[in-house]
Amino acid sequence: MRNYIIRRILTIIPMFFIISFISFVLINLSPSDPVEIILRANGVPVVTEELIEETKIELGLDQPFLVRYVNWLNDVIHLDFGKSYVTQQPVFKMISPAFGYTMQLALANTVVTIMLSIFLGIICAQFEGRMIDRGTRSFLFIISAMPAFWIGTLAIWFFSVKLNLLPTSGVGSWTNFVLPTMVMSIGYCGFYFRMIRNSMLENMNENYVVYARSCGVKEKVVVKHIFRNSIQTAVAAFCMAIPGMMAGTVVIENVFAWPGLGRLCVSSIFNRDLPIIQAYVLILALSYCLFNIFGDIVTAVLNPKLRKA
Amino acid sequence: MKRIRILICCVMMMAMCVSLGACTSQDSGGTGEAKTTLTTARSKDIGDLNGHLYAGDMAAQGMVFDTLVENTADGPKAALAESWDISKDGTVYTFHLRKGVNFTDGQPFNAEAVKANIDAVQRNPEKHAWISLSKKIKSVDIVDDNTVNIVLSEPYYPILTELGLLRPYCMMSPATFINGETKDGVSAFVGTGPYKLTEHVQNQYATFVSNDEYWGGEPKIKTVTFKVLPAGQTAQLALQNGEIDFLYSNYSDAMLDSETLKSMGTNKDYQIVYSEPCATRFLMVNASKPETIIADKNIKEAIWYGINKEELSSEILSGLETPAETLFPSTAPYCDVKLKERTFDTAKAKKLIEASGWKMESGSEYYTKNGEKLSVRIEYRTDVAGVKGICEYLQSNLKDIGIELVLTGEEKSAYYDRRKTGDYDLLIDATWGVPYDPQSTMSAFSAPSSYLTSTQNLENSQEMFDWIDQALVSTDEVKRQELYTKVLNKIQDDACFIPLTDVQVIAVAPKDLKNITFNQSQYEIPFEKMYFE
Repeated sequence: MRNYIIRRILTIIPMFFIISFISFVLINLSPSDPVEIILRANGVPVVTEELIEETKIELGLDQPFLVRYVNWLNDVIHLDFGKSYVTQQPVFKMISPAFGYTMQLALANTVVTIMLSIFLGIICAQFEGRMIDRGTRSFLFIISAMPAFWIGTLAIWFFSVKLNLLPTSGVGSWTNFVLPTMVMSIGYCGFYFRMIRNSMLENMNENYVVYARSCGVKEKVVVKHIFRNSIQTAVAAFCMAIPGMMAGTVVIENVFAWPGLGRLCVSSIFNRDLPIIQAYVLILALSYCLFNIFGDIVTAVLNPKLRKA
Repeated sequence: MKRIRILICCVMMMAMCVSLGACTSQDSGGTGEAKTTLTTARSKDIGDLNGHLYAGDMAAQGMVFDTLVENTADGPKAALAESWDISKDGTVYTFHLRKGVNFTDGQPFNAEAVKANIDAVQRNPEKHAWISLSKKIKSVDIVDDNTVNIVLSEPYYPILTELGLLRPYCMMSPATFINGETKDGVSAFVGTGPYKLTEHVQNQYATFVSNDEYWGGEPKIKTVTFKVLPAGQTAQLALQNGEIDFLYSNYSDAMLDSETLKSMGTNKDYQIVYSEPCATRFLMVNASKPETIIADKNIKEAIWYGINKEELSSEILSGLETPAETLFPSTAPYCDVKLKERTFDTAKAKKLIEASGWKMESGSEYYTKNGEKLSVRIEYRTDVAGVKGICEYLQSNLKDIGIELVLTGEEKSAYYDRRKTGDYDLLIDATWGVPYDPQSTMSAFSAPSSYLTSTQNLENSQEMFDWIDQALVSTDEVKRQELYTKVLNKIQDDACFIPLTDVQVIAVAPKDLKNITFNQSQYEIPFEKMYFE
């Protein structure tokens, strides 16, 4: 098990180099002159050729591509992501709070999604084919098919404007989490509760369940075992969903003015703020790798057979 | 049965949790907000407020910094300079500074501070090449503690207007300069303005507290908060919910759209306030490629005649913008000139197209010539609200006169690339507005990254650029008007810029917010003049 974990963690190193290089290449393939875009993003009314040249040298963009990549990589290894071209602030200082906010939202969403999915998955599996099962599936099918920005706007209108119960947007207290988490988790629940329900139904017909029941094992204990065996596929999917949520919060962050990574990244893309974009891509890619490993470990903990392997 | 009971209990517990959260929110939401605070929303963070650079939100900079003079509809007026004298040859401007003014960090505002500020701007010439004054200032000389001379290399009449522009000649506390410079940043944003920045959480909010020693009188609104909210529905809902008190929109940051304004207009608790027209939305016509369809003057004119601006204004823009017939409004300095009119006339448009050899085949919707369809492209910025709708309307207008208009929406950088390289037929853009119009916008006619692709291949275009240069240095008012008249006639006759509508600043606020006025520049909002009743 330990060797397995170490081996998995070591795979991050080549992945890091591959991801960083590909992202650096792709970002630099843009046909627009980054210097000109930076100057416009800085509000310079008229961009002259002299100013472009001066800024290019100032930012080190006159250097050959490989030199720039190696310099950047060297800095990144020392946790220095450079300075934002637009705000002139260290990228780390800008990304850290945004990462924190996105992580908070992603975690809140994960907790709600897991709890709701498990709850609804078990209920629907227990009442398979009955009104509550069909009703829940139909409701979540319809609601998760709706675009998040639309549900988000409707939710703000209803809960904040009409009922005046919750803040419309921003961060500050736990009440700010309610609407974005609710809107985000609806979409995810529609997928994960089905996964748990189907897995539970499959397990309910397994021989070990029939055997346990025929031996007179209490129903509570039987359900516990069914659940434990059913949850394994969902755990791997949940773990991969966390970085997915981090990357996919852009729409929610925009609707609810959440100062997270998504908004920062989109504005950086429009301003061609390369240091921020590169850091964003790298952080998200590493998050995917780490959560993937985390998912594998949790699955191994749940399933002793995998531990032995 | 037991399972159903458990299920019901769970649902009830969840409902209670939500209600509890909701109640807590209501309590902390605060409905009795003191009426000396105001919260507004912007789609972007206030950014770097260094007033000698261009990255910050101008509305926020306007709250913190002052200029020597203030641009008004009646011309430049006293601000930090109480009065000024001009030498006979027009090259020395002597400014008599307001006494007893301090920066909000306690540093005195005096001739030394003025010199430090202007010198710091002048030491960053590349960034300020767009403003002709930066090329004309020879020196800044201290006469005494409250008097300063600005010496020019040659007479330059827009000096007062350009010193009245917030950027780059606003006054910042020299104590915040880094090694006497501002081009690489400042240690704090400190000015003499009506407010001081007290808190800034990036991408969330910025709080400004009134400067009680403000030379223009203590502002009645004590705290102004800028919240970062996405433009559109969220901001409107936050306004309705009372989380923000003031929402305004200009060309560069359209926080309001026509639908929002329509719905707010019917709400008796809110008021909508419009500024005077302050900029012009127009079509930039490519003149850099003589072989293209759009280089034909008849086609340019036909497009101009073919656009129904009245309907565009009333139906598409819900009356928020008024039809424009000239690139600069007649209220802009030197622009009250009678120019050639081209009112909506489809018959005339078709005649012009046919005069260029285009023919309408039977059963065809568009004109053709030698098998080629009369088709032109229009590029628009996807980040500017409402512009796509305008382009779609133009598309239907031009279809009526047999021209196919192909729409391309692109992000800002791609759009500006096209403008610079001339890879377009039509671009939809807006002038900088007063007080930049006409002198700064006209100066940009010859700038490669601005309007050169629209002006470079016109007949005698170099002569037009010379007229602009001469107008800027002329000391004779009559001659200057003459030169501007020639330039205005030239661009109108050549149809290189097709005006569409005049743009206004629009503000929405609760009815009890009084004295909502606008500065001459569309980018600044005088919060210090507002108060709650």
